[in-house]
Amino acid sequence: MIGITFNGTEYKVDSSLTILEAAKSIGVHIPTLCHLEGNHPQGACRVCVVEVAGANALVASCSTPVRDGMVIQTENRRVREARKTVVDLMLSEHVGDCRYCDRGDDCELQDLSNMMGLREPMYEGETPPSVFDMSTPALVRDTGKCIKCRRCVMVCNEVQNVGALFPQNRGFDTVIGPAFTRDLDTVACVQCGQCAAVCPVGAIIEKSHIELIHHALDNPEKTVIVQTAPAIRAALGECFGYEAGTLVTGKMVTALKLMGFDGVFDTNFTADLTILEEGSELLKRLKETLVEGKPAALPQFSSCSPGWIKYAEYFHPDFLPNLSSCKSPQQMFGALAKSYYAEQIGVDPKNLVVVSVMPCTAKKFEAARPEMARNGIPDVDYVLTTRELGQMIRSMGIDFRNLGDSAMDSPFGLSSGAADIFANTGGVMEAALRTVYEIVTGRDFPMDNLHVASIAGLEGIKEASVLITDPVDAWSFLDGVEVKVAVAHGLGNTEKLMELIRSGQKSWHFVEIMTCPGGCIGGGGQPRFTDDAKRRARIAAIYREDEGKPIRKSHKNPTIEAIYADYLKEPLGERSHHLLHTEYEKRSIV
Amino acid sequence: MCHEPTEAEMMQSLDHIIANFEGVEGALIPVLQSAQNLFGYLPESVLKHISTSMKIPYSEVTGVVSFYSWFSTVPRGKNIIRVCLGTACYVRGGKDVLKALQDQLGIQVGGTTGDREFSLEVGRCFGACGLAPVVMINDDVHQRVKPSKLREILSSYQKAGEEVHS
Amino acid sequence: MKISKITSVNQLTEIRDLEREKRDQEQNKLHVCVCGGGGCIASGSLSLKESLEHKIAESGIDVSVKLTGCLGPCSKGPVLRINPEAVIYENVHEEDIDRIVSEHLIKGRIVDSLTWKNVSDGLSFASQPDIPFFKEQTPIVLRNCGNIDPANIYDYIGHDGYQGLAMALKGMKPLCVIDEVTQSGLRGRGGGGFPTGKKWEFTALEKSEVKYVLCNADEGDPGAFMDRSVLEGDPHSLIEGMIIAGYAIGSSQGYVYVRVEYPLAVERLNLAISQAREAGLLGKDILGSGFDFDLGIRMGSGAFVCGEETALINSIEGKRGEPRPRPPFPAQKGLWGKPTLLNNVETYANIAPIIQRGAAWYGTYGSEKSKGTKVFALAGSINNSGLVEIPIGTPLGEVIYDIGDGMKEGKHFKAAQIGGPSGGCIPREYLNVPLDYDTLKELGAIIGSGGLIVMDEDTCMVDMARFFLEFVQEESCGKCVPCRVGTKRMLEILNRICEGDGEEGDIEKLIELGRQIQQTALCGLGQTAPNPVLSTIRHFRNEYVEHIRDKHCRAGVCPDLVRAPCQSACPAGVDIPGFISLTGEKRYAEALKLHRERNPFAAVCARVCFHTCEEKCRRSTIDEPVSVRGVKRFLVDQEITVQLPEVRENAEYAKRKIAIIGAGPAGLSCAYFLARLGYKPKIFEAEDRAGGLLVQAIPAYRLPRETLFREIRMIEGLGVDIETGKRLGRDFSCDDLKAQGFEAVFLATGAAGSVSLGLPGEEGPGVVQSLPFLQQYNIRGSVPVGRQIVVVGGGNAAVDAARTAIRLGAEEVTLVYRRSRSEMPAYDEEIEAALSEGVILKDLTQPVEIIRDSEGNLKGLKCSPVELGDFDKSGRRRPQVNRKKTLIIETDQLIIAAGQRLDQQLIDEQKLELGMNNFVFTDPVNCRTSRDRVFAGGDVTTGPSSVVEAIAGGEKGAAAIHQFFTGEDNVFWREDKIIETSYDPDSDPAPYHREQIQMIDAQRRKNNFDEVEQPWHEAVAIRQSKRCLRCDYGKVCQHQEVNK
Repeated sequence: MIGITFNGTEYKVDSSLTILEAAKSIGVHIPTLCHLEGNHPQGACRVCVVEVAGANALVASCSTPVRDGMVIQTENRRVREARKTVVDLMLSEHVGDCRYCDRGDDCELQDLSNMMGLREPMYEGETPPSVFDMSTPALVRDTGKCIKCRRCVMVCNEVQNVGALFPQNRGFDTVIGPAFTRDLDTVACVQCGQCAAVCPVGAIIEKSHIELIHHALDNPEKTVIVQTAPAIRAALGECFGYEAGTLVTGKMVTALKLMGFDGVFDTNFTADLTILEEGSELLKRLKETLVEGKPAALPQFSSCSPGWIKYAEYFHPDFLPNLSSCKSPQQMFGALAKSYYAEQIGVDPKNLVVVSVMPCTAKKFEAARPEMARNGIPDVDYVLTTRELGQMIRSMGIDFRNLGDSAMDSPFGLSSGAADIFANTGGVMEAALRTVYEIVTGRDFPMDNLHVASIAGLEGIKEASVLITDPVDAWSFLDGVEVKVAVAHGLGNTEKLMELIRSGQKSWHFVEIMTCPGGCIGGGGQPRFTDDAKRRARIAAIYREDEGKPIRKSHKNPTIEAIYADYLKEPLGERSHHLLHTEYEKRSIV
Repeated sequence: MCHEPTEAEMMQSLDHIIANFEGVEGALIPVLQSAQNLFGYLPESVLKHISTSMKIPYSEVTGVVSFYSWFSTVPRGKNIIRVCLGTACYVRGGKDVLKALQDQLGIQVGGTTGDREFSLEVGRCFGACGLAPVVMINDDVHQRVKPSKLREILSSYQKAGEEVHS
Repeated sequence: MKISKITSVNQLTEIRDLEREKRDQEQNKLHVCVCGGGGCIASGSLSLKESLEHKIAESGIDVSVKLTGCLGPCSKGPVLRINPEAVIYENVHEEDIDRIVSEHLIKGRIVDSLTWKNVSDGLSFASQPDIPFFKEQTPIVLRNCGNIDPANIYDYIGHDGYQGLAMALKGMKPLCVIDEVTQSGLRGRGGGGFPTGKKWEFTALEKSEVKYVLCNADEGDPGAFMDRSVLEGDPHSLIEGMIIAGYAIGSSQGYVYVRVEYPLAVERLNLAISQAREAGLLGKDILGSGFDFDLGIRMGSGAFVCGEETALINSIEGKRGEPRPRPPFPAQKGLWGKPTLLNNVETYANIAPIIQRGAAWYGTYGSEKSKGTKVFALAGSINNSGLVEIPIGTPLGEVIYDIGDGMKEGKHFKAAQIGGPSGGCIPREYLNVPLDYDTLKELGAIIGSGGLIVMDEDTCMVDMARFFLEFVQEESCGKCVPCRVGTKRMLEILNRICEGDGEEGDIEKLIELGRQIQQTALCGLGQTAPNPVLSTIRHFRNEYVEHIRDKHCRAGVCPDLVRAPCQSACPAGVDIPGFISLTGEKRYAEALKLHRERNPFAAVCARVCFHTCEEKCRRSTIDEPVSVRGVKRFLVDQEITVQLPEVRENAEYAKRKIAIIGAGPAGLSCAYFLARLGYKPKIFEAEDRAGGLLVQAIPAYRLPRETLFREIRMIEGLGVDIETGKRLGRDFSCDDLKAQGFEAVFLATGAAGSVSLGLPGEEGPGVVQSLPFLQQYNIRGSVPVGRQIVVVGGGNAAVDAARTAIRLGAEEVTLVYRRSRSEMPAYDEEIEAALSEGVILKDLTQPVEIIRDSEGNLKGLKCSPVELGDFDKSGRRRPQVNRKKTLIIETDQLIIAAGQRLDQQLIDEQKLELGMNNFVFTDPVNCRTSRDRVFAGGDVTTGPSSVVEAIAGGEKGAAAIHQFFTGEDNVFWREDKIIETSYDPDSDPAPYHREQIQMIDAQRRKNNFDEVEQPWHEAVAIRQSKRCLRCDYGKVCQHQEVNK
């Protein structure tokens, strides 16, 4: 700890911090538009400048480490004038009409400009070239609004290792975007939407499906049902002023019903189904290898996260056979809805509209994949992000905070706690282990409160192993086998994990990959702004939801048992194969 | 007529260049420089090839290319005219020379004439300030250029080209 | 070249001694050094060398030729030096080679026509040590440039090369090396001026297995090329410096980052590195010391920002060359996150001599806080442009005038731009400032990397600032907001100002934005980007004001403000291309009318105008300027009936009572323009005749009286009433005028007060002021004249007095002037005419005593010679009187023409405030004085100035009074007239040469007052007018557009 002076008062702070971090630690707010927690400072926006005694110019607090005895002014005339000028200049190259911007309620630039009391433009002039890009299913880019803070560049290159976005050109002509400032569909983009999640303004946003859904809801010929992913319930509340990590499952269901959906269901249900299919697939691969001596594709990778799927298709096509052939829970739901459920309620699948609410932008891309449709009818029609749902609820005049709780509809409303934890990193793996272990040994999963501690939390790459002893007869070949698993979240970590596999340093049987940092709770469609504190809060809420459930293992979900009995017959069976499994394609990166 | 290398041969040379930099840190820029020397400019196919071979995202490759003014992604003329607008040349009338060149060639800075004879570029100081204003055509430095001398200078390059053709 | 490995210091020294011996033997042998610097190569030195070798071989003589690095004087290239006498030949061409070989190399006779000649004084020098350009320099960095063959490592070793490295490796611990560098006081030569030793120490203290030594050779400052010369001329000096640095900080790998625009530098550096490697001076176990170090080259790709250290590091790492936030500093985390030392070429080139000869030796050069020497790239409007190395602290003026041989084409020094886009300009008031880090910083400039661009009055300072900002804006990496957007906004404001759309408050906006950018930008490039703008605002704010308020560019540069440079240069704004082209079509009446739109005194100005228009004439870029005055002289002689301009009679205005005091050019011009608006002003003139100095001071041989009176009569004809014999202060006061109902007063009384020499005895008989002397002759018709006359002064009044005295029968007239002839304010043609009429000029002579006999009769003037000292505020060298030497000029009449000043008493009586210049204060926009309804113009406000400036002052006063009465902002004559003349823009310039104005022979004219200058014949005049390039072609006047 060292002593520094902030605005005339002395404090003790950790010596490893930057001025910005130190200020935060003692509750002094310094505005910034480019800083991104956990990443090296950019020093690009210059909004965070402060006065340090002895320095000639103002210094950027995001990149300047504290020194013992440092005397800092975060707020005085000189600092204020400088910040004002910087924000003013930023506004002068920002082409966008706040009245028609998606970021009306949470635009960081507008916030700052308001905070500074800017009321008229001081410096007006030419604005840089702007590109409006609607080329991809999930994301819309409007570079005119871009303030070149480069958070998206950091996230795309360093956190996600995708490299779709990069500064192009130089100086005033700089455009943040794909090669040659062309559209996003000309480069390898996985549609994860982390760029949209960190963008301080409306330069990158999700492609909205709100209007389309209104149309469907208004159309009397259509039966419109909705599924909500597990990560929504722990984050939607943030759209209505709740603390991060507040569970709003019941209110959410009420709201969806008020909005006019004909059925409100839980993606958790198909998450449970995924566990059975994916677990069986794993066991099958293990059997092929260990008993039949066939070279099976191990490790098996989870396939719930569409960003990861696309990433693998681009960057690791040789590992595509290793990906579980299971569709994601979203798509399994859609497929079952448009077959099994449509049959049950007697609606022509053509007139059944499946909407999903996802924490994710890549789900929009996934729903639009041609292989996710049968006879030209897509399994899932529209995808809302958490943010879009929040906006839609507000626009329909629903007073969310004062809603009562409702329960999900049948038949796809009931789920296990294992399905809930699909929302966070390590959750799919934990859910799979709970079921697979019990199937193989016939015994309860021998972990404290059923949690696998070593694969929980925000560590980038996590590992666990489970020793199988005394299995039931059908799985006797697994006796004494130590099942090794690994978990990665964020594609940057994923890339490191792939490197460990490729180099032979590690060999696992099953690997869970989630595209976004923290898993789906940190998805590209979640309420802004997601930092690690919020990720932890949302994860904690999800675990609470799991622990509160009477059923906490997927195979114990009675509806699952029923649907196998009635319709699917068995995991990996013919119907499953037809409805619930898919194939992947190699994609060219340039 | 000497043998002009085919596209495939040039790509092969490019692979050699990339292979030479295998394991060398910070190799992208030297590779791009060599590629530009090889191809005359940096066509998209070359950039894509560099991106995949060196495992650097395409957007990053073009981001680097478009940062440096020396790189060109469009084909250029047989003769590259670079008008110095360094301080000394500016003070001594470089701006007038540039304007006269634009008028005579009918192109703007960065442009190439329809017949691919000349490309016009602007330089910031070639270190020949004592001879200002200076115009560089290919590797030749023309010193103390006056607008009235340009026609003569340009025609010497056109002639040189014609002689080779005939 | 075969190079064997040198494995020890002793071996290195042996080689050095051998090389020296070889050199000593050859010392007295003829050999030729051809300058292979970039400039000389561009001028053809390579083919010159070939031809020379060929010719030598043909002649069968034994003379070797070597290509060396840059010798320095690039504008004189190709340059070659013939040793052992070190004879320098300049501007050598193929056709000179025969003579050099046959005369010099074979017969040993120096070819005089090729030796060095000063442009300023025409003196020529044969031998390098005698040439001022070289004599005043102190080469440390450039010690070998021009002496050695850069492609031969042995040549470098023979010149003590790698001895610094040897000393470091043999006897010094790394910390001692750093200490030596610290002690030397060397500061970074790349721009920042950070103490080099400190930087080394920081990097040395970092604990790391791997460290890097980087050299910034991305010399991107426009106007700087010193690093290029070192790389091309002495690459080993850089390599040696870098190896020593590696040893000192504990690094074994270095990179040189060279800009791609320097192919020759890259080639020579590559060669030098491979030679050094072969010689074992790079690589493992250097000189048997166990120390390893190697070097690689990385090329820039055209991004100025890569001169910033962190951007350079990013670029070497293969990234966009964007700066990183600091801290961490490169010394902590640099290239690939390792501690990294970064200096520029010049800094490293200083290292070996410092180690070899010691910090104390180095400290003997330079100033107290800035040690050593600095290389400057001298360019712009200067005779000797090229590379110069001087001790830090040398005054700017010495660099420009002694080394640089003064301004090109006799123009006047306006400012020097130092430090490129991060630097600023130094105006002529500061020619004495020592060029060192701290002094320049105080003036808002920096030494930077050493680009020194000299600018004359043809440079527009606003345009200059705009140029640099445009450069920075183009080169901004775009990462941080203040630089990316802020400089763009500044540039937009400057563009607007230069285009004539500047607004009130723009200057303040530029200053405010500039300061904020300095405060907030991410890197040094951004933080210093506003400097050229802030510096020009600081020193040349007036020019900004003129651009914004008057839409006027005094340098004639900004295209939107300049219809034609000549017109822009004319204080009265006469449409010069218009009347010249009309003259060319023999439409004389129209031409005169057009002239009188802006200046009534066409015939007067055809004789006495100082014609700045000709100085700005673009024709001079082809051959010589159009003789505007010559054409005008012909034109006015064609006037048969007086050509009156447009007059707009106005009964209302005619009733307003306006008084003008003084019927000189300012007062008459004011009356003329008021009358054209319909006013009927009244002029009060103190003397018996109207005309002011035109009639009182300018002799009739320059301006025939009838010519003048004709134009005064024309003005009277417009309804102007002139009452002579009415003197302000004696016959009336301003208050009286008001009492008489005058609603506005225009004060144009001139500057009639005389300045005395302040010498004892000045009051007695025989001493007279020039103005009364001329006045008396011109108005009364006679004046007493002595036999032996001395005139003291250097202005037109002095020359007029001298020439008048000659004409009145003086036997001997001596003109005494304390500065040099080139600095005399009188027009050059007048001085020339005076000399040919027999006037003796004694320049650089200062009167110190007036000698009288016992009866008080004037006997002589004692003078002392003057030596020129440092520079005064006007940018001229201050005369320093050497009182130890005296001479006495015998004289019986002393005419003093030391200057004019205000009649102080008169002004005090009228209760007028004075301005900064000690003349009557007026608001620059509305010509108002401190007194209500009293306006002023001409010499009374500006001090002694030219006729045409007084005319312009009168015009401005008329417009101001009109605006005062009516509130109207514009006057009709200021709108450009569209003149239909035939002109083919695609035609080649007319091939005629400038014609001189004919004068009556000196012997025939010196005894009378007949007009000296003679008009041309019509054919000559027409040919001359066809020489006009019609710079006004295609320009539409702004006023017209607005009024459409």
